[in-house]
Amino acid sequence: MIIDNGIGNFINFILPFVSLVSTQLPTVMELIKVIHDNRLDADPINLGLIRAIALGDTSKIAILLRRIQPKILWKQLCCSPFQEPDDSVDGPIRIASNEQNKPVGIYPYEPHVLLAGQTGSGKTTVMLLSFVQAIIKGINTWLFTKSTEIRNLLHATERIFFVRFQGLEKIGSLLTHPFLPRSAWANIWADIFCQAFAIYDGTKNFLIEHLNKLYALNPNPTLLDLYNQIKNSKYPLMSREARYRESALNRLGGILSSGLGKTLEPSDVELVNLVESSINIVWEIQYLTIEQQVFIVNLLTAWLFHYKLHLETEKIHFIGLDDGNALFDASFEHRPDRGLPEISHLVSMARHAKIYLWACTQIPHQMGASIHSNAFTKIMFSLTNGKDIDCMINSMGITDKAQREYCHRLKEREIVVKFSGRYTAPFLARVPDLKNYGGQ
Amino acid sequence: MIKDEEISRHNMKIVERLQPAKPQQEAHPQQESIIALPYVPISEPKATLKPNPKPNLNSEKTRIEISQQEKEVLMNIYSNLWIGIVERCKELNLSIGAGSRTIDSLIKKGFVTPWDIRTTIKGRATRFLEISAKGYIVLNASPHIYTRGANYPHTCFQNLIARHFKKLPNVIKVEIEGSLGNNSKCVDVLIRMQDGKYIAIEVAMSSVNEHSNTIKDLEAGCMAVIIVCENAKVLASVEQILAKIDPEGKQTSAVLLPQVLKCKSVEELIGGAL
Repeated sequence: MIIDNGIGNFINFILPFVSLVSTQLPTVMELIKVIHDNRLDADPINLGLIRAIALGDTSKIAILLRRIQPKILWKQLCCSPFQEPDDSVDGPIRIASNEQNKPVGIYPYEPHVLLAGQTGSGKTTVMLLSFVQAIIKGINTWLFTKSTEIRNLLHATERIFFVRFQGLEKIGSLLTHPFLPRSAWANIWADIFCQAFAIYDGTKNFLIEHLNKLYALNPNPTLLDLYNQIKNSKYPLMSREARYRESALNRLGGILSSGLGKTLEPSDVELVNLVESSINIVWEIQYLTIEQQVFIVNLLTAWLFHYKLHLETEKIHFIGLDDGNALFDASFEHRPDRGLPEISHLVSMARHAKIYLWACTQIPHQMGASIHSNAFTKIMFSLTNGKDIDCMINSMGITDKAQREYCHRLKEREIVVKFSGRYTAPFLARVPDLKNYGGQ
Repeated sequence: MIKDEEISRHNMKIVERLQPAKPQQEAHPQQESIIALPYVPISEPKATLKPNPKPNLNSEKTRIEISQQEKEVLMNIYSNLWIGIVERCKELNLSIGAGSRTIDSLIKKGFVTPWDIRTTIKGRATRFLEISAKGYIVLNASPHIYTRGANYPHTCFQNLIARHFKKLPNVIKVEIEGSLGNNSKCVDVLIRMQDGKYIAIEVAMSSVNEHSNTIKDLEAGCMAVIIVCENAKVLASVEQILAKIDPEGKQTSAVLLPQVLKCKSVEELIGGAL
């Protein structure tokens, strides 16, 4: 008999025990399953009773049931429908505690974390907490953020550099890569440029041609050099090249006149110096246009990927994205005319360069498949849009009806966590409340 | 929340820690030094249009220094050589006073060479700027290549004339160093009119080659030849030459640059041939 209403879950759970006690004695295997499913096997007395029952002492069955029934009933009444996880959910970077107040943590070498939740649910807090622990453990971090809340990382470490994209900090033009051949980097640069600024193949090849010409004249060009190089090129007004020239100049001009252009100027201390010195970097991208945000996040991620891939270093690097939709927007993957986005390639390959991404999102159903498919850890906070909740439920593979329903009514600071290894069932956890600590 | 000023101070500390040790150099309190490159001597261009002040290169030490504003102006000169100071200041959103001071400073440091070219009949000459070899080094850019080995003023004349003729009615094509056939001589500025006629414009810095140039242009099929002279002295000698080739003056004409830049139609310059 299955009763499907509010109190049904409780009755459905109770029924097997009623039958166990009143009609016929349970078998040893049934008892073992009940004890195991409810994580009561850590108690040595329970194990001793089970052993006695297995050896034929049926009088111990009633004793065992008296011991376990109140605990199971309490759990059913007060806890969530998620199973109690075992100790393997703990890891060196702790993010929350489970329903039994045991720690939940992540191993740094588990690639990619997806955090989905509505605004104010605590995504940034969890990421900040995790990154502080990572920095303390000597892991290099980059954080792309749209809020100044992340500046609190300065309380945790002095080895942190803030790039605010207002022309106050300069990181070099990024038109060359310290390890890649210039022509190879020109292709990657043009790919990212065209995907971010929504321009087509023709302009991409036009840019590649001019970048290569520029490299021949000047091995370390700036964006202004590229702009001038294209501006000084002459094409008949009615030709295709004139259109490509116009498109490229329009986008480059926009970059050059904004804070992004001023940040991408040469300097004595450039990006490569910061990375070599293992300085953590916070990129405050809130003052850039959406296209510029996509461009710079992709470009920097690609730059770091190739840098670390060449060095073959074992050192782990975390990249945190406060708004993952800017980078992993599903619409980028739905443009067959532009090919697969560079970031999709990077997400699948970043593990080889020991780069692990942490992507936060408020709209998980608009995130591309690349991050859903490659995230080892998925964390769902409270979400308001049913489409987003269903997306995360499906992404986490939650099939149990009670668990699915519970996901629709997550409370403040409650999270559903799903790992792809170690402990693979979804479970409920609670993130610490940092408001009591003044947000620091 | 941590404020911007605190972040700036912190960033400064990081940059100072990572900054490579710099060799000691002379203090220049007025300007922020952003580029340091070895000095490369340059040869001064030979021209009668040489204006004042001359770039004083002898005072240069072993390093070149340039401020951010000077570099921006130099970049602007690189991207557009053929405009005067007033137009340039408008492009750069600078006041004419500030722009002129920056340009004077660039001239003194030898990054650019000034050329005063008279573009109007009355008033002062317009100052055009040529980037010196030292300027190209600072910009880290390839030098401009002037037309067929000509010098800056000659190319400047060609560009100013071409720009003006493009705006005139009945002109459908303006070509610098254009030619009428595969083997024919190149014309400084070749103009094609709407009715298919070609007009050759030659820039005369001296009258030495103008006799042969005019005959070749006419033989190549140009309906008319206009010779734009650098100054009144050249104009007088070119007029004497043209009087021998075309006594009635129907197909040829010698003018000064301000006359060309003032005209509102091609007919004003060479009405007889059209």
